[in-house]
Amino acid sequence: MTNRRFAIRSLVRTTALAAALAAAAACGDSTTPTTTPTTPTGPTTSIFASRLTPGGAVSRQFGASTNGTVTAMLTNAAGPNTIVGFGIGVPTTGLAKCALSTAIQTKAGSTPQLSATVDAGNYCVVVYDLGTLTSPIDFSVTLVYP
Amino acid sequence: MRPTGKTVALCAAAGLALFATACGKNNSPSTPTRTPAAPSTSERYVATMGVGGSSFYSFSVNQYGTVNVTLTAVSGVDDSSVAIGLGLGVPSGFGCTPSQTATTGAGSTPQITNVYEIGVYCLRVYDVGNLSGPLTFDVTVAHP
Amino acid sequence: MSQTTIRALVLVAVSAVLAVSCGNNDTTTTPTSTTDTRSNETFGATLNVGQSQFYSFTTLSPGQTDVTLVSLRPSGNVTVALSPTVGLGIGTPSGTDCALSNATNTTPALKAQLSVATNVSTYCVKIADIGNLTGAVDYTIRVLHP
Repeated sequence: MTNRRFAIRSLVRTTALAAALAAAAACGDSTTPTTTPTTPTGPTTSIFASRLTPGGAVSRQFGASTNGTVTAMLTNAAGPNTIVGFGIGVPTTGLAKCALSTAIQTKAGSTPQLSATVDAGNYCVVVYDLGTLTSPIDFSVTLVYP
Repeated sequence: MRPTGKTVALCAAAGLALFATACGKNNSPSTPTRTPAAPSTSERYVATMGVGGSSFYSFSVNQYGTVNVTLTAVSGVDDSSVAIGLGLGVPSGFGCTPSQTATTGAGSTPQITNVYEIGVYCLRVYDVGNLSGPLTFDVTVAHP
Repeated sequence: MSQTTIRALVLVAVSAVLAVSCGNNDTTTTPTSTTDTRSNETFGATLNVGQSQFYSFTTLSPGQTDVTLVSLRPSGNVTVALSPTVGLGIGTPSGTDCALSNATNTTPALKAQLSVATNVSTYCVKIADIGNLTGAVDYTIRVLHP
């Protein structure tokens, strides 16, 4: 084989190798545009229990990670006929610690008494005496939020 | 073929020359000197404040320039030379947070003058403890 | 063809292949953070019948500002949530007032009633009685801004 033929074959092989390497780099590189899949996250269910004293209020904060619907269900409030105040709002620095956006008077039940559409952010739920308690009562609240 | 010593020396010299040229220049961008614009607009703020009171007035500076505040007159129970507080700052929360203040009586020349960037600012007028009754004040804010 | 020429041709060929592969758009898609980095200012005061109030804030970067009238309560009462329609607006402090650029009549909610694009500047949120208040109310407003 002449030097010239050898040189030309060398040129072809080198070019092909370079092309192959470049193609492999382009196809296998982490810089290839990819869309990072969003892991869908479901709503969070949180249950808290506490004791409400006459004239008192109990609040609990929670954080919605995204826009969605919050539901709150009051359960086990010391008997089927005990009516208390029940509301959802945003945390504040005031005495109430929770500025109520919506509030109702309700008994404990098996379905959510409160439902609200929210933006992502921090919120609070409050259970409070309407002035009718004569002794402390135990209660539970089930929160479902995005 | 290996480069000769002469070739290496020439390349090194060329590199050094480039390096010296680059480092010899002042690469720091020079900050252009800005001339603050003179006030082109006057806004008058007349109001009454009670003992221990305060109020504020917001305005927009539309060009980097000089802001002059002149308390031109006061009237009320107290003497017309009573000193009250003047402040220039930025509206914040329910009020005006001053960055520059002066305690002064009324006059014909600015009691506060400063240079501001484009933005929203406020004048705060307040009782520094000298009022014994309501006071009506007349303040002019001149700004670009 | 001399060996020097052949070497030059190889260099050109390899460079051409690399230039083609490197010319593709290899930008990486950066995952979008789901964390809201905006500032949260929650404020409140007492609004009297026929009155209006405004609150100023400064944005540090261009973006979206969300305003939520969260709560209205009888003045001094923390456990009753009211829902009269009031005026809510956003604008720029001007003179002794807040010059509005966007406004709405609304009741309290946990989802923003106003969402506007804002630049780097000082803005104000205004609440006003539009004739529906029968007594003084304590209000809570949340502002999310860049």
